[in-house]
Amino acid sequence: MKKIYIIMLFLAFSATAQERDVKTSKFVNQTEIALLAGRSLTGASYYPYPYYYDLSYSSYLPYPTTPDYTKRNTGSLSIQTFNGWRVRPRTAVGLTTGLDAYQGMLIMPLAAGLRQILYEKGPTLSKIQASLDLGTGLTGLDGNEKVTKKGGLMVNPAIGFIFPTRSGSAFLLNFGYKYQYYTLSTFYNKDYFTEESRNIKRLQVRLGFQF
Amino acid sequence: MLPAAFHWSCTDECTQTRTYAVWVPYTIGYEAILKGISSSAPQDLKEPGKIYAYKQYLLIGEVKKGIHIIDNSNPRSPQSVSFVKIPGVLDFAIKDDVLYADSYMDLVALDLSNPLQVRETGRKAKIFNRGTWEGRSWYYDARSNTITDYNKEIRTETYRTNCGNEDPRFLGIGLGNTDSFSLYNSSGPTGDAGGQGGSMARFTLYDHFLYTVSESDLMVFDIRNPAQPDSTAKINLGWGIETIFPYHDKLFIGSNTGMYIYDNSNPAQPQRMSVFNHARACDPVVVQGSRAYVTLRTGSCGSAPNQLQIINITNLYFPELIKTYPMESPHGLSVYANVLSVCEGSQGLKSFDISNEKEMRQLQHIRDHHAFDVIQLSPNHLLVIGEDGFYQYDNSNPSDLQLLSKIAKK
Repeated sequence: MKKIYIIMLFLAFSATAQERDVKTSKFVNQTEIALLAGRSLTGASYYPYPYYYDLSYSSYLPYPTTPDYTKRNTGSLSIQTFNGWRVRPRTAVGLTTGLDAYQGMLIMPLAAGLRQILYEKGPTLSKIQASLDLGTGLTGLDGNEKVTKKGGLMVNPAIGFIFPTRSGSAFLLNFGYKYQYYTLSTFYNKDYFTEESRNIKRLQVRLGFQF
Repeated sequence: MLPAAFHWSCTDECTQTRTYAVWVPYTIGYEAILKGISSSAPQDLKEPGKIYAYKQYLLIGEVKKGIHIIDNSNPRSPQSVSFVKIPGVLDFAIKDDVLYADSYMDLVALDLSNPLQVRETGRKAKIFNRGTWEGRSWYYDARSNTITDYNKEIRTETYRTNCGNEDPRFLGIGLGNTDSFSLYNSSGPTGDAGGQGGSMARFTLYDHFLYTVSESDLMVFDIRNPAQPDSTAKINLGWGIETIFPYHDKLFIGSNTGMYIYDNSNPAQPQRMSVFNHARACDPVVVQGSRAYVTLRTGSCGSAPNQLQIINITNLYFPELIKTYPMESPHGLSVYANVLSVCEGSQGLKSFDISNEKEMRQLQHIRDHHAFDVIQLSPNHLLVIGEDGFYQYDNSNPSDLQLLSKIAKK
C-alpha cells in the first residue's frame, strides 16, 4: 500500500512536470555565461607620449612614434540574461542585458532580443535556436573617471541548442558573434585631447539555462 | 560604424584621434627687432597678454606682437586708440608717460604722451636672454645675433590603438583600464598676465626705479632719466621667478618654489628678508596689510595641488601660513578690503569674502569666460583679462558683479 502511494506521488509529480512542459509558459528567461574570444593589438600603450610639452621643462621635443604592437588572442567573460514573452510558439521577443568585461572597458549591454526556434522534434527533445540581440552598450559602470565614455551599437547574433530537462527548464549552448562599438575621449587641456573609437569584435560561446 | 559591424572579423579595430600642440621654432634677426617698433591703427585682440591701467588708458598686451592702447574714460564703452607694435613684448609698465616694455632681450622706453604717435626714446640692449610665455621660451643666441622663438601649431593625427589590451593575458579581464596616458597627464600651461598692481606682472615701478624679474634674476633699472633706463643691479633669485608685487617699501616675488620678500627701503639695492617655501607650482602673490595671498597652480611650473594660501606676514622675517583653501586652477588674483578676486583660468572668476580668513566665503563664481588676471582699479571697478577677451565689472556688490563692457578676442 505504502509503495503504491509513493508511486502515485511520483507519477503525480512527473505528470505536473510533463504538463508544464507541454503548456510552456508565456514568459521566457535565458541566462547565460559567455566566453568572448577575439584578436587585438596588444602591447604597452605609453607609446603615444602626449607630445604636448613645455619648453620650460627641457629642450627635447618628442615627436610621434609608431607604437610597437603585436596582434594577439584575447578573451574575456560576459554574462547576459534575456527576459521575454513567447509571441508565437517558436518565437520570443524581449530585452537582453548583462555585463561584458572587455579588456578596455566594462560594458552593460541593453538590447532588444529575439529568440527563434528553427527546428524541434518534440516539446521535450532538443531544439535549434537562433537569436539576435540588437542594442547599445552602457559604459557607466566603468570606473575610470578621467575618460568620457560613450557606448554605441551592440550586435549579437548567435545560433545554438536548447536541451530541455524534465523539470521544464532547459540548458542552452550558443555560438555567436558579438560586435560592440564605444568611444573614449579625454580632455587634458585645450592643447591636448584625444578621441578613441573602438570596434570590438568577438566570437562568443554561451552556456546557460532557460526557464 | 554599421558596415564595420557586419565586416566579419574577430580582430578589434580601434583608432584614436589625438589633437595636440607642438611648438614650431623660427628665428628672428636682431635688426628686425631694432626696427620693429611703430604705431599703427587699432587692431583686433588676438592673443591677449598682460593688462595695465594708466590714467584714462588701458593697455592690453598682444603676446609678442605689441600693445593695444584703449581709452577707458567710459568703462562702459572703451575705445581703441592705437596699436603699438613691439616685437617680443610680454611685460610693460608706465611712469610719467613713458612706457617701459621688453622687446625680446631689450628693454625699450617709449614716449606715450601722444598714443597715436608712440616714439622710442631709449633702449637698453641685450639685457634679458630668455623669456617664457605659456610654457614657450624664447632665447637669444649672441653668436648669431638671432632670437629663436616658437609658434604654436595644433596637429591632429589618427593612430591604431590597442583597444585597451595592455596586458595580453587571455582572460585578463581589464576593468576600467582605459586611460593609457594618465602617467603623463599634465594640465597645460596657461598664461601669465599682469598689470598695475596686478598679481602676475614681471615689471613693476617703485620710486624712480623699474624692477623686472626674469626667470632667474631681479633686475633694477634707474629711470631718473625716464627716456634712458639704466640698469643698476641684478640680483640672482634662483630659478623659476614668475611675478613681482610691490607693497609699500617691500617687494613680494612669486617663484615656482616660494614667495620671496625683499626689503626695498633702499630701492637701488633690494635686500632679501625671507623666503616662504611651498610646493612647486605656478604662484602669483598679492599683499594687503599683514596678509599675503598666494595661489598655487598645477601647470608648467610644477605639480602642487591647486590652492590659495593665506600667509601672515606681520613678521616679514618669519611668514606664517594661516590657512589653505582648495581652488580649481587659480591664476592671478587681487585683494581689496574684504574682497578677494581669484581668476580660475577656464573655470572663470571667483570673488570671496575674506573678513574671516579662517572661514573664507565664496560670494560669486562667474563661469562664462576664461580669466587669468585681474586688477581692482578702484573700489568698484574690476578689470579682468582672459584668453577669450577683456572684461570690466562693477563689483560694488561683490556677490553680484555687473559687466560694464567686454572686448572680445577676434
